[in-house]
Amino acid sequence: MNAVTVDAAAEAAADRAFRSDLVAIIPSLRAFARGLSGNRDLADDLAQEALAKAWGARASYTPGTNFRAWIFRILRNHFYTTATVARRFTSYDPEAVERLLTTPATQEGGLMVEDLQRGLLTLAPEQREALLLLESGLQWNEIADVAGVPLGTVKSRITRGRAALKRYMEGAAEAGLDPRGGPR
Amino acid sequence: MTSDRKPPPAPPASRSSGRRTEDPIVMGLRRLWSEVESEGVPDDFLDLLDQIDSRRAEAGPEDAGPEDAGPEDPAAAPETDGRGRKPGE
Repeated sequence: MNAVTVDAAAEAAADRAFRSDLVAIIPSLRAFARGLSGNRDLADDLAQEALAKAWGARASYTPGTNFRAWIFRILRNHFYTTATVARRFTSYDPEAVERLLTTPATQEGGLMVEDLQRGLLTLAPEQREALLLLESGLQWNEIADVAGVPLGTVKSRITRGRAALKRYMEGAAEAGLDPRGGPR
Repeated sequence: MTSDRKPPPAPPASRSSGRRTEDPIVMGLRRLWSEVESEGVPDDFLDLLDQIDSRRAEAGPEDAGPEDAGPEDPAAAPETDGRGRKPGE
């Protein structure tokens, strides 16, 4: 059918554009997933699943709107609703967290980043997510949109999340403890 | 190591409690994020997209959606195709 052919051509063009958006967002998706889960492999699984879901749902994306926010929402929803993921990684299990941290320490600031990641995992997931989304470049109102909560809630999550993270870092420093058991 | 992405946040209003960019927590989070972002993308990701493409080509335009997931339906099974494994070492 003619109409089908025309539609198909338009759709193919839209798909190509969408696909390049997906490719471009991969590094950010990985960063978001890594921060949420604290684990490289799991995060990459998450990010890939989000990509696949986004592709499947591309018809629901309105071009010109915030693609980043849209796909982050898919990823975080998937993160929260995947039962095994949620149970294993949003609960408080410092030992599991330590086992899962795979990023090797680098001389300069590496431990700091590791500690932060560990600290992030001790936060309430919604605080962790808000801090990460802020880091992703989203504005507060966009974070509110991704998380499906009012703006005031986002602000509070960010403020509290930072404060908790700070306490965690200070606590770790004071105790002089190296959670990985290596030299500090 | 810093990527050329646009500088983070540009906090809309004020960043509440007067924390500024020298806040080690803020700096650390930025670094955490940018370190992952600047990693090379594992091949799996592009493979996945290629697979989606080819599946779609096989299915034809009328059956464009290889996934059953909607954006608000994150619980749907993540059937990426079973290849969503970790990057090769």
